[in-house]
Amino acid sequence: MDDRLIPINGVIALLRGEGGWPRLLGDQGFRRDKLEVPLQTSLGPVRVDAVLYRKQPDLILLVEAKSGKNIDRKQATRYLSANAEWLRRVGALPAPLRRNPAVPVRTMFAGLEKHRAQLERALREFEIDAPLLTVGASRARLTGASCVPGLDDFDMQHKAGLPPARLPIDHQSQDDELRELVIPELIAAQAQDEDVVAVESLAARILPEWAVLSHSARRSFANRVSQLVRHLATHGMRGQFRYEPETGADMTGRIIIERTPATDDPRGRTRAWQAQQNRAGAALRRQRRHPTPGQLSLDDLAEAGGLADD
Amino acid sequence: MERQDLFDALGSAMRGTTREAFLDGRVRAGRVKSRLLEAHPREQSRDGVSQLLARVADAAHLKLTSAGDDLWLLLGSDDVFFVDTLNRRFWLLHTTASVHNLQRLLRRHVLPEARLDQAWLSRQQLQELEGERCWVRSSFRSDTLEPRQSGRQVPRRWRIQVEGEDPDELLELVSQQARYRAGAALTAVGSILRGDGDSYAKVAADYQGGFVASGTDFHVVVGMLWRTLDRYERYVQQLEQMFRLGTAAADDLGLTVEGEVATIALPRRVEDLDSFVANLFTCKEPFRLWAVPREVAPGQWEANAVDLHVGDVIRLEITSEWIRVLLGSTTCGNTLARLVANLQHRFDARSVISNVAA
Repeated sequence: MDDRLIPINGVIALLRGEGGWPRLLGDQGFRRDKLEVPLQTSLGPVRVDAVLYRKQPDLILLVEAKSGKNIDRKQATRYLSANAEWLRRVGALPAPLRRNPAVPVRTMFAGLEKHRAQLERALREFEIDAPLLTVGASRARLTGASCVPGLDDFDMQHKAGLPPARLPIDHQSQDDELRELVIPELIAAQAQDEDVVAVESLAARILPEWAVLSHSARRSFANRVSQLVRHLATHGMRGQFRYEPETGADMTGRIIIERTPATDDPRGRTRAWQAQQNRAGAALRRQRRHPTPGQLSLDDLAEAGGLADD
Repeated sequence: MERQDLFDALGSAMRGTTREAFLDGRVRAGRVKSRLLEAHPREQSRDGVSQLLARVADAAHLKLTSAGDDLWLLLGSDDVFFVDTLNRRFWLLHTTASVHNLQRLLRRHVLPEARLDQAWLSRQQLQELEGERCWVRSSFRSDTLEPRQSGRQVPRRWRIQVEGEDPDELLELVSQQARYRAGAALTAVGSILRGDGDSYAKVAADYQGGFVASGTDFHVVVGMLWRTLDRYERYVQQLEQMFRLGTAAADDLGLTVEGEVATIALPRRVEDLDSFVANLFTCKEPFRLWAVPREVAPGQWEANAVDLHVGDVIRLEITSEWIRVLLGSTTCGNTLARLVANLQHRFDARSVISNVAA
């Protein structure tokens, strides 16, 4: 998972209490309405990372997930200027609260626990009085909620590690993170003995926000995937597949699978897949950890081709 | 051919008689072996089924013949394999061929096919199999995932069969002992099914969807097989409905996220996590998972894996205490069922998905 997306994945986990994470926001009555909501405010547009809401007391919480240590003042003030009227104007008011024209709208900043000190400093510097949620592999902490009726501070140690990666990447993620998802998709195509994979469909599969991206943003992301595939095809995974540039309806080209271990003799297939792991490991710049051999069984021997199994 | 003719012929075979005129004697006297398979034809249609079966038949040098009403024959020189595809996704294969010939067909031509898999029954599903229980079998190997462990805390390997009155009770007793409970996997059960009058069938069933039947009446057996298929289909569909994750554009603005994360709370701590992770992704049976895992936080690994049985991408997040499984929006539920069943037989018999009824 792209580290930048740990905060937003943490917010989702705290709402649902999933993957072993405490349900600290869910237990306060918060529900997730939507992610990636384009909003207009009196100060200009802002793309809200998540819109949460609760009832009795009614409250809408806009979440600004920070990937780093800094807070963008201009963006923050736009968030803080949002209100129910503006949400209604753009159709972003959560359906269960549409009958309450005066529902309070507040902003919660979310970041990594390891960046808490810097984020707190930035909020103080900009004189922003807003709750700050920080999450990490062993702690989830919300402070500054006293100014928001319906939201309570919490500070909990947990053993659930990093949150589940529902959103492993976004369109701004680095190439290294994209490669982590592109390569398994190519291996999956080999395992299914597919002949052709359209780059655009691959891009749509790996990018959770694909459905709400503009046409130009989709094209830009798919082009990045094309570049990655092209590089893999001529370097680390040469001979496995090739890239064909766009033709006609193919916006960003397609991948032709040239060979697959799936069609090898079953007795040599495992080794062929393991060779793919080595190639992928090199492309991902890490070594495959070789398993420790246990007691050799007759089944192992048969699979390795050392013993006839019929 | 009517299904009734097939069941009569298989019933005769179970009773030790052969009908030479029926398929040139390819239905031999002896036990009937059945297999519950999961299929993903490119098209969910009769043509799609036909094309998938034709691929298997070609590879295995068998002749594919339609017997009508979604019943197919794979004909060899001496054997015949009946494939009942009335349920387009979950198939039943029946044969009187030798275990050796059946295994060869399955291991070489059916299971390596990316669009076919076997059923992976959980402990609970095996326990729910109907009939009067005669024996239970437990087979366990922890050294697949934990080859360095001594076997003092968890058995490295065992294979036991308990026969007699209420054999489940003895396995249950073993599973209550701290020394043995991790290894007390339920691998196979033997049962007697009673039909009308004196008719009966003895059926052995294992967790990989394999069934062997003897006795006097195949109709009794086939009823049990269909009920098992129905339960298994509901289980897999439940996994898919709950755990397929996805995102979609909301009707008005923004993005919605769907599905739940499957979490397997490991019943005991993994002592050597690095080795566990390395051995989980070897591409070998029974897990057949491809991945290049990475450690994303101290003691936490992530793997964007490919299930080589069916070619689906799944994401696993692993620590010494739990495994999270994030399915894609179209990932087959059988992938999760297989992981659970194999963890029960290779790590700890008590492994279950915390947020689902097995």
